[in-house]
Amino acid sequence: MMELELDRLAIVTRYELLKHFRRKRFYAVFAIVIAIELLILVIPKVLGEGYPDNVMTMAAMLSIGPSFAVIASIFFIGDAIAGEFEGKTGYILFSNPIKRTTVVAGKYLACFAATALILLALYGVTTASLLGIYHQVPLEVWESFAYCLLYVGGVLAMALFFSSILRGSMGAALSTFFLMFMIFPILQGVLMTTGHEPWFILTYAGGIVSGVYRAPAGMGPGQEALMRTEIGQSLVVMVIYLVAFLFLSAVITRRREMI
Amino acid sequence: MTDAIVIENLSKYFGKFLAINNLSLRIAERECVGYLGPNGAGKSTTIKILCGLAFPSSGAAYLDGFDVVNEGGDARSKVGSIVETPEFYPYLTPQEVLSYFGRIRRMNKNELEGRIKEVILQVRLEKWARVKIGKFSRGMKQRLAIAQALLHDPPILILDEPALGLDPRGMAEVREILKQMKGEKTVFYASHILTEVTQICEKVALIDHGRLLVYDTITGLEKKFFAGLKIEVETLKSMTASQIKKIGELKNVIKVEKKDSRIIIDFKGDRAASGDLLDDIRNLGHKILSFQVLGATLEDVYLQLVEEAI
Repeated sequence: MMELELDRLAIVTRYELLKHFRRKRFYAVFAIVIAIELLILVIPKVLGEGYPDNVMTMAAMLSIGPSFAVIASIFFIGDAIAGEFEGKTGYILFSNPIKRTTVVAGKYLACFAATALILLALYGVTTASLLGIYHQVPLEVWESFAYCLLYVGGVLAMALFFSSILRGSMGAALSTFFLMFMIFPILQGVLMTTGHEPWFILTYAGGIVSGVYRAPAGMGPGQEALMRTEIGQSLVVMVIYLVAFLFLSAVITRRREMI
Repeated sequence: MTDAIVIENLSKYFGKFLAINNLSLRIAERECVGYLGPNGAGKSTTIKILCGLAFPSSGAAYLDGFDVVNEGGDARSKVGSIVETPEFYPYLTPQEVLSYFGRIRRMNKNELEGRIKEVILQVRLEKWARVKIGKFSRGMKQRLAIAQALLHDPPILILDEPALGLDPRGMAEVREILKQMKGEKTVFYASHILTEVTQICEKVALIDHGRLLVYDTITGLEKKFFAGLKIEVETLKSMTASQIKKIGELKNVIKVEKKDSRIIIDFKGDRAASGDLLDDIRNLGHKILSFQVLGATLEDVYLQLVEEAI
């Protein structure tokens, strides 16, 4: 019978979160993404051009910070599994009576929570900025936040997969990075050039994080329905990436030997 | 007495390389067994399989009756282990690490707090209990590894070179801790330091090329493979070559070796007979400062068996 290990899952998650909070990279990423958001807010003023008239355009501009946070999260999770083997900490952790699936899930959740915290702060900045400038916050901001969480969930699951199959932490992070920002975009470009919609590619699906700001006001009912269908499709793609890569990571880690 | 550790026809391949070859071993409850063998013999691989860090290609292993593969969680809950040279999370303190692993082992909060203090004192890390491990030396990490192995007071200890990286004082402390465990816990102890194994364990299993060469009590092995003693003698005046030759001609003396102001004698006989040797040396006119029976050496048995296996 499958024994539930929720108490152990909570413990692993807590100590992994502690790891993120005690590492410089968490604060470095936090500082960088906040700086990006501030630059987006400051540069138009400095250049004397003012802010866009449309609140949605400004919201879309402010989604650069969250996109950067998603990229950076790869470096949070890169060493989650690979690091246990590379750094030999697994000799102690895995000889404890805990299922490796629980360890994988705990590490994933902690990383997700750390990234979610950064995203929450960024969307907080977006909300405050839009309120300050436009005296309104479109609902799409929080819709974008929800999509961004799901997107980061898929990205982290994919990075965790690389962390579970590769020996080195940096290798795992860089593999995910190259896949996300070289291989996927190339594939996406080729498919689009040949007239095929690359709906199944994670980065394409992640486009809804800023895509949700495409002003529905200017759309006809048909166009809006089409946009909602695209969003639904992208959400399904992101969930599939999340579940499939998380499952694969757990299976591989269970079978991996500390040699 | 039931068996705490059972290994049955265990084999492990790494690709085409056979690391463990049909190994079978039974260790009774509260027995202390030294696990010996040269580098690459398969000691660490056996220990990794027992601790759920590697998986057997065939055969089975049980800890306290639990299959290490199919009932891994239950099996590992009975064990405290040190495998190879473990590392710890550098961002945590010893107290936090022990709390983490204690909670994973579902120790209750009050019991855990008390045990953490006890084991930290036991391995003499009390001054470092709240310092991040990132600043620790190899020896300090090894002490912490011992602390985590003892934390939940497990009935079985599986230790792979626990004294590795420790200074002489640390090694002596580990030896003392293990001596205290003797008779209370089952200890399966892999080491290269044969004198330590002799002092701690009553039985040894010797493997080479993944095969079990011998498994017996230390006294049994010494009787079987070498019926003699090594004796160290220190005299007031350093011996000349002719004096050493004369000692070599004494009854039951096999070989004499000079080491600084001392001589090491390979003596064919038991402890009682060594008294006669002491008299014989005195009768040759030497003033003896110390006369120490080093024991019939496990090292001789080890070297003989490992050499035969090659």
